Amino acid sequence: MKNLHMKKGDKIVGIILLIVVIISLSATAIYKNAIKGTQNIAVIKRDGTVLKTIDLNKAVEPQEFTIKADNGNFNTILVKNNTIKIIDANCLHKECVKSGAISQPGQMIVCLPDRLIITVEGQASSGIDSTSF
Amino acid sequence: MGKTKKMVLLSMLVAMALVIFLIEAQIPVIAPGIKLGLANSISLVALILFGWKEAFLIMIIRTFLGSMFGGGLSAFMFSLAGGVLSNLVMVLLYKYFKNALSIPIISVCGSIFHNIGQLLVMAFIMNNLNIILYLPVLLIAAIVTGYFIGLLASVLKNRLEKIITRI
Repeated sequence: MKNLHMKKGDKIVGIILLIVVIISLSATAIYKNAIKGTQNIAVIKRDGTVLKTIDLNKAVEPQEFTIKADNGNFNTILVKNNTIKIIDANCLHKECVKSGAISQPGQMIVCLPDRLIITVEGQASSGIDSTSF
Repeated sequence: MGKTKKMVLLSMLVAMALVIFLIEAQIPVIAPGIKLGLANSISLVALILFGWKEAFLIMIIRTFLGSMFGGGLSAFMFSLAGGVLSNLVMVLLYKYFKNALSIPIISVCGSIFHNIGQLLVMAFIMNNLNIILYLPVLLIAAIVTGYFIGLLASVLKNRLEKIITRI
């Protein structure tokens, strides 16, 4: 079983990987901290265009709606107790449904087959307002 | 090894990879985007036992057949981007650093680039760079699963080598 032994380059690669992981972890932590705001706005996008924005801080009562794509695909979205989640979809693997509920800035739900993405943003940016209203 | 024998062996590797891939698809995932990628161990074994051309061939045929059995076009593009990038990294590392790096570490690097490739395709399809926030989770997952796949590939390689030298 000589292939299972460590070789001399393994340590170097291991150290490089450790540094990369630490850098990426801290970079995303800093970014998530920077976008944190007083608001939690859920933004539903397809292909980069905003379909709907929901203020999660005001969303306490359950609210359910379905977003349909041109090709007949759909995603049913539930907003409840300041969180948002996809509860049903007709895509194959239902990764978006498995993602569960999100509520904090920086979190996201992705549905690749429908090219749908739900993100939570800390502040209502003026760009979103101008495109959705 | 004769041409026919090699073709039979390669087809059997493709079949193995496909079956592993389809069984693995039935296992529920812990988090979206994270899975073992057991089928990649076959590509790695093919790279060690045959060469880079055969490894690429097995990966591409397996991805194509895999998305025919379940997945569709978007899943095909998605897996292919990850597979090509990961195989490319493993081929280069194996070619130039074979003596310095052990198989599990080469596999870890392959896994990492597999996930990076998928992440880039995802960001491109979704037209959203925020997806990069997934990177740390995927990196850690790739290191764990990649190491496991590498261990599996080295065991598999040792066993297959004995059989192949006999035929």
